[in-house]
Amino acid sequence: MEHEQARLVIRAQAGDREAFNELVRANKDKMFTLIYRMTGDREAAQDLVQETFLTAFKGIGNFRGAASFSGWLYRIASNKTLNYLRRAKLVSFLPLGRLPSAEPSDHMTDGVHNDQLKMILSAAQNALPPKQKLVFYLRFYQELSFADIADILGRSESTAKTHYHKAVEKLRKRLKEFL
Amino acid sequence: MACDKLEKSLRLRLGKLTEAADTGRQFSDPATVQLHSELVKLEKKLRLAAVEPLSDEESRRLVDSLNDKINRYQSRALRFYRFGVRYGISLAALLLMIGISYFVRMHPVAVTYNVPEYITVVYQSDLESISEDIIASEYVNTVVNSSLWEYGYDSAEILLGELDAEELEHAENTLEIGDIL
Repeated sequence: MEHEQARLVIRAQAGDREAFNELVRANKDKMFTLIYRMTGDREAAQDLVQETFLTAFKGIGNFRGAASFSGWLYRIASNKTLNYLRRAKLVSFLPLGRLPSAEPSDHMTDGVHNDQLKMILSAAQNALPPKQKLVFYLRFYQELSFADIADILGRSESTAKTHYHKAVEKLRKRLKEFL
Repeated sequence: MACDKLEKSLRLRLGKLTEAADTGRQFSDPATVQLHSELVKLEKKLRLAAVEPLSDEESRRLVDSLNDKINRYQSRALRFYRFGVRYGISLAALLLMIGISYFVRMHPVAVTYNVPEYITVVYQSDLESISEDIIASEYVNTVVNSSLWEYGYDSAEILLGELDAEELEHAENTLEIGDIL
């Protein structure tokens, strides 16, 4: 996958628009998921995804293959999303999406309805500081390694682990009564 | 201390705990067992919050809109490049001229005018071809000048033809005919 993307990047750097479109198609869903979780605004997330790819298009000539292309995109998307949240001072929320198939017992917790539970989970995650939230989403939902997250943040791996550790501990304490 | 490290390790593994084969029974410390149990439940709960992916329509709109933005960006970049090519060279030439004039002002060069030698030579040659004796004769000078004035150059024959006998004799005595012809 990464190898295929590396070839597409080389073609896109040579000015091949179709290769860049392929890169867009391959990465747009991942970028959208992250940004949507961070902002909670579907329209804003789509705009930010476009901004992310436009920035990537402008700077693809400077992209060096040392990092993976999707890692580079995550970095652009993260910066744009954090800036957006800072500017708009938005309180993001975890969007209520389509439910994954799960056992009925998983949908109810001590009489709390599934939608209510998701609201509570959303509120708990939104209460996290932006960087902890970003690291949490990148690790938990996007399933990136701490090394990749550190690269995206431009920080050390131990900093990324610290952010994640703190985020998990806060979530565990806030959601203790629902576990 | 060892428990702290273990608990920290468990927290860092949130997201992979349900995939792991361990059940928490291997932990000897009850607090660690409790933490493991809570984290597993937390992980399951957090998995419920799925994000609805982009629909086909949203994907199509996103890609189309992105392509429009890229086209606009490329168009702007191309216009800027053409403007640069068109006016950049002129601007560079203008700046070069300003620079040169500034440099010349700062470092003035003394200009000397030299008359080329061949002009002097020709001038002297022309002078040498005119007999000072002819010029000195006031009468001849008057006749020659009036003839040249009236008939222009190459008017020697006319000049000679219009002289009466006395004038012709005087001219023959004073001039060498070849000087006029």
